[in-house]
Amino acid sequence: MNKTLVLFAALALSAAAPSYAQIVTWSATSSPVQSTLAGGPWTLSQGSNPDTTYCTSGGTGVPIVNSSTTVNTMNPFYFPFVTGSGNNLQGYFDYRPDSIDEAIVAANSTDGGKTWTFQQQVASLSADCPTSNPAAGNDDGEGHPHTLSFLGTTWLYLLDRRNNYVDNAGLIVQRLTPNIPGGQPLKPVTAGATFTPPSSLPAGVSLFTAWDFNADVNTSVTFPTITGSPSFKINNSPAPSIGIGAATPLGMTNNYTFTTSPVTVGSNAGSDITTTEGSTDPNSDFTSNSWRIRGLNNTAGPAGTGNGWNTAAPQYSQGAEFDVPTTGQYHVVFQYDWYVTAQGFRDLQAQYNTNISNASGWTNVGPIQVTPDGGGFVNQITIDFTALGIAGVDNNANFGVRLVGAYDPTYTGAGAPTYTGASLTNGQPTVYNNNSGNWRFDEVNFFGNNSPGSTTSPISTVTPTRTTGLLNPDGILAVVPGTYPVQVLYIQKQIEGDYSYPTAQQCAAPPVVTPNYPYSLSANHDIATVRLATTTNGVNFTDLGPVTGLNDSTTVSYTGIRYVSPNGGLVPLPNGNWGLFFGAGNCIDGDSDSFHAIAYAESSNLMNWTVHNGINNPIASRPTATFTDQATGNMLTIPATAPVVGATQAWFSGRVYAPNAIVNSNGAGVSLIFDGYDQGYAAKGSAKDLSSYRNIGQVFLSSGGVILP
Amino acid sequence: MTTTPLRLFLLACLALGSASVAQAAIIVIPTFDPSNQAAPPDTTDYEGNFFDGTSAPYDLTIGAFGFTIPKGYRVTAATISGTFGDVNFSTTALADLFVDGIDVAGCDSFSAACAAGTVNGSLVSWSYTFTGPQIAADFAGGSLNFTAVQNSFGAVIVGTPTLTIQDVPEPSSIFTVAGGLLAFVVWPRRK
Repeated sequence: MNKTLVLFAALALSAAAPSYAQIVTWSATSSPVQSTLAGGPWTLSQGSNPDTTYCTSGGTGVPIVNSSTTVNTMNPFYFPFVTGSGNNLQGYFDYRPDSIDEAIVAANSTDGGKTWTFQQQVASLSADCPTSNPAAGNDDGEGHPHTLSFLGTTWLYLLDRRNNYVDNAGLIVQRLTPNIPGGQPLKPVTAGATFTPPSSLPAGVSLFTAWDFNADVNTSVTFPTITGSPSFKINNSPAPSIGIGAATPLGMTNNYTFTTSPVTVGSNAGSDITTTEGSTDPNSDFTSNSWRIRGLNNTAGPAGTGNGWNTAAPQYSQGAEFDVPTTGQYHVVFQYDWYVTAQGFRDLQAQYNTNISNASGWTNVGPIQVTPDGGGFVNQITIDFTALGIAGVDNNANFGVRLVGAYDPTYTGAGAPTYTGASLTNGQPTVYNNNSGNWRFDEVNFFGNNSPGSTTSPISTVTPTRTTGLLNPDGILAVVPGTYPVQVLYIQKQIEGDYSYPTAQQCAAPPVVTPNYPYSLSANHDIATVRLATTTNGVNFTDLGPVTGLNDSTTVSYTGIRYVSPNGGLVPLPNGNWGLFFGAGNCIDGDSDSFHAIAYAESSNLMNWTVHNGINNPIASRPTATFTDQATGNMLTIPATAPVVGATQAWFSGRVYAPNAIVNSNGAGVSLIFDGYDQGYAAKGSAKDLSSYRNIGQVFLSSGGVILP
Repeated sequence: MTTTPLRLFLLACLALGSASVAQAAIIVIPTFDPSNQAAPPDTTDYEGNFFDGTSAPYDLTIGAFGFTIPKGYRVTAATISGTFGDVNFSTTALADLFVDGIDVAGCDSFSAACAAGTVNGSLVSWSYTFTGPQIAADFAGGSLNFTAVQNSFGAVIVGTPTLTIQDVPEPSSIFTVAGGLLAFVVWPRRK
């Protein structure tokens, strides 16, 4: 074989090789250690049972705070989020003693995360001390911290753990600012903050009129002009929850024909207060009050009881009007949540009037708003009159806005132009049905500055608020550095979502294997999906869809990855590729928090991933054991390959997850900061081991000669 | 050649004069205007207020560089340098930075590292060297305004910029030194 042939064969082999090969093979250069914390709140070493030791005076006092010279093993902290470079790290930790309280604690480190120094408590929803009492809601805090920095701002994202909010509502997001010149990185959020706009507004800014409808009630009203003089519980003039103003339904009293069966002619305004899920109302349960705009009862009945909404109504004549004096307010901003039922009018136009006595003074402002297919809430629609160059709004006793139905500009079929319904047919709008559907409003807010001349929108500083556009967010997995719009990987968690799967794709009860998996646990039925999204302002996100390759939500294989948890470690690799450390789990653990092992994957485009260190050859793992695999029935020893960081240690034998990776100063590896539980925390009742859970740990990894950017 | 008191005096003058002919550097950091800071009074960093971008551009007064040029000296060169971002924030809002109206730096693109951040979190540096006419026109007063125009959502973060001024004696001072040198050379011959 001559040299030319050899070269040709080599080239052919090269061309046939996969286009993507693993870039980094990790090895440990240290053993995992439990991190320590200097100062800060109570830790497990100060009494393993927080119910009796977390507070002073045996449980009736205040939470214990250690002096800066007191150094304790760093627990109970979990879901670490760490930034920085080399050994100089800034950390945010989810602090949670058992189920008593939950806060975000900031600490820094100068040795790669082996030791930390407490900086401050950043956020806390529950200030209860000390008794765990789920009924009182003090088990429900804010967790899974993650930050995102761009355009001179840093945003903190937290999971709202309250029932009906967790994995359902948007993440709580607030902008962080430094509080000490040149020093501490954060300004603390007031303990117990409920992210209510009025409490978070800075001096000089007011939420001067608002309707949240939570205190409004319906009253019984008799309609003698309707056959039988029926009574209906309605509210056609809900009072503002803050300030002065008048709310009125528009166009619901009319003589249009409604295509009910039998046909009904005429409608009387019958708006009412009703609970509706999904608004941004922060002050009540998830199903907070809203104001429903419609005719009397939305059912076929005698003349005058029609639904109210009708295609015969002139454009901009049906909806709601909010008359609000802006006296003493400047740079007025109007914001509202708009809900449409599945059959309601699809399009909304906002109007304003600088003299509500002038019936012809209503002027369109802002674009037509369009409901999602099938209806739902469109939250925090915002109109900044000053930014739009509209004069006459500020300091005006006769100001008002209308939110009214508009013809669908995308509809060109029979009857166009006309109103269409919220639900599309084959992706296309159809004419409104003239018999059902309505609109609802919540969080109708008017903001203003208290003095003229400011160029700053009064709501530009209104945080905390909630993210929009992230689907069932459980937390952010990783932020892609140096991108704008900023790209984030996040975890969508659909609680008990897999019951719709075939039984063969649902987890059975986890295996009981002594000595390391001794507890009988229930099967988990959540679905965890890793998705990519972008944002340009830190609050509103655009979902780009699920990524592939990290997990399979249908796998029941004990060697597969079914779940992924938030707070992973994204590492830039040479040539623009990415490495990702993440918490991985499956049916073995009976939990979707994805804590069986720390896994590692690589990608060239963030959407398609290849796992190189999975459940069976992990970076770190729960103890090795032999299981009867649910998928195959075969006996499998898992992991088959020893973990990169070495044998499982007791403090992460129950859970190991949330790995953050910070590149070393020489680019030759990373410091991996992660979380671990002992095995006994999973026990039930009095057997529950409260001595070693939510441990922060650290290990150094080498990138095997690959120099990281 | 013998050493006399007068000769020694001339030697000292020569040494002093020579030293002053060499360029000296005046390094100045700005005094920050508290009205536009996120957490005033911050004397070591400039971290501007957050703006939502709806009314951009925003004119910001960051502060002023105050300095004193020694009598008989003139500025020969000046450079301002700094970073977008600081110890607390690794990026800045889109902004143009001005010193007495001179555009000295800009972060002009959302996708630029100064705005979106770097892969490893490092800060993006900037610097500007003033031209001769700019120095002649602006540096005589001993104070330079430092302003910004913010062009986007976010906050202007410029940390602690440094103004480095090179100055030398005015020609009249050099003539004095030269005269001393000449006297030093001529003195032994006349003796």
